[in-house]
Amino acid sequence: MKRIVLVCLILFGGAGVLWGAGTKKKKALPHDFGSVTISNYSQQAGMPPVVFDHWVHRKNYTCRLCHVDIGFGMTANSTQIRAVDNGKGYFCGSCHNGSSTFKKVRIFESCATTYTREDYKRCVKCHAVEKDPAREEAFYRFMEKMPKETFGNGINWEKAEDAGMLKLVDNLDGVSLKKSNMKIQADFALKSKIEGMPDIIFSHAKHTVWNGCELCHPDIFVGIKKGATKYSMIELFDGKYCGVCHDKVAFPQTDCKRCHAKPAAG
Amino acid sequence: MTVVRKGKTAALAALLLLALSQTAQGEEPWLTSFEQTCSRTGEAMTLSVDELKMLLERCAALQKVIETQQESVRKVYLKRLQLCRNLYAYMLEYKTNQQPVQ
Repeated sequence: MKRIVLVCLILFGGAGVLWGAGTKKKKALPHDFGSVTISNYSQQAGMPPVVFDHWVHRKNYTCRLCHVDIGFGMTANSTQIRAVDNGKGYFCGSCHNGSSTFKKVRIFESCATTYTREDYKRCVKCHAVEKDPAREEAFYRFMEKMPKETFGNGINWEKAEDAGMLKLVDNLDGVSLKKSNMKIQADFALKSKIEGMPDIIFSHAKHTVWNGCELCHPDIFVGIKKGATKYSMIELFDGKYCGVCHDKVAFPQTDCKRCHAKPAAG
Repeated sequence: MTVVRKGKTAALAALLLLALSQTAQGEEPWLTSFEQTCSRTGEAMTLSVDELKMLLERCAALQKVIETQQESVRKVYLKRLQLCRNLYAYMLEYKTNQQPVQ
């Protein structure tokens, strides 16, 4: 009887170790950082899931354009995009409609309800059957020209934009609304909880230019009064608050000095 | 019922009526209303309590219209409306809390 109990305990413990190891987050390679796999209806339609590369889009467009004006959700699979939505010119079809252009180059058309063998080559541009070395190569070719960063996908996007290397499109005809002049809120400091760790400088200017107001408030940052919400790094690493974007698409939160940037007094 | 309230009710009724009808060109008037209502998010911080309340009333009226649209339109515009309505509600709460209690 004791032996059975012992075997059960060993098996239970072993399973726990394996489960723990299986759920440990694997660090994404630079070209994979920010990739999102979308699989709501693809497999039902006999297609592989969509592998969406954020870098391809964020080098040309603001976050706001896609996540506010076009209406993409902030988490994978939350938007429930269907081929028919794209075909009607919504979501991916807002640009991938076969007639829109970017820098005078026609953007390939997204989904179709029927397709030929030739069309299928277009389908697998998004519905990725397997890893495409050309996609990786394209990333590293682009990365070479950009300011470097240690973490994430190795690109300092902020410096790239400041240096005029990126000119992000923030308006899509027929989709975006005529915007009123935005009143940008001042930057502010948040006190660090750990002694010796510099305080956080939060730049409203940087965030509102790329995101607008409604992408963050109130869905991500609900607190009305400054200091009312107590943020913890555990919550942030768990994907809350800053963690909604940082670690997933924006630079990772392990890059401490990017946020904890207030020079020490004295 | 005060004159202001009567005015607001009439405006909302007119908006709803306008949105439910379609022009001969196939242009959907609710889209114009959507643009007028949700294009002010960038200046939400500077809007008065009354302006925010009015925008929220328009959002509520728009929601009813968008809910009657076909699925793709409904999905996109309900999401977009939710973002702008939530921001206005957030700002209204902020501004209301700032005002001294009588």
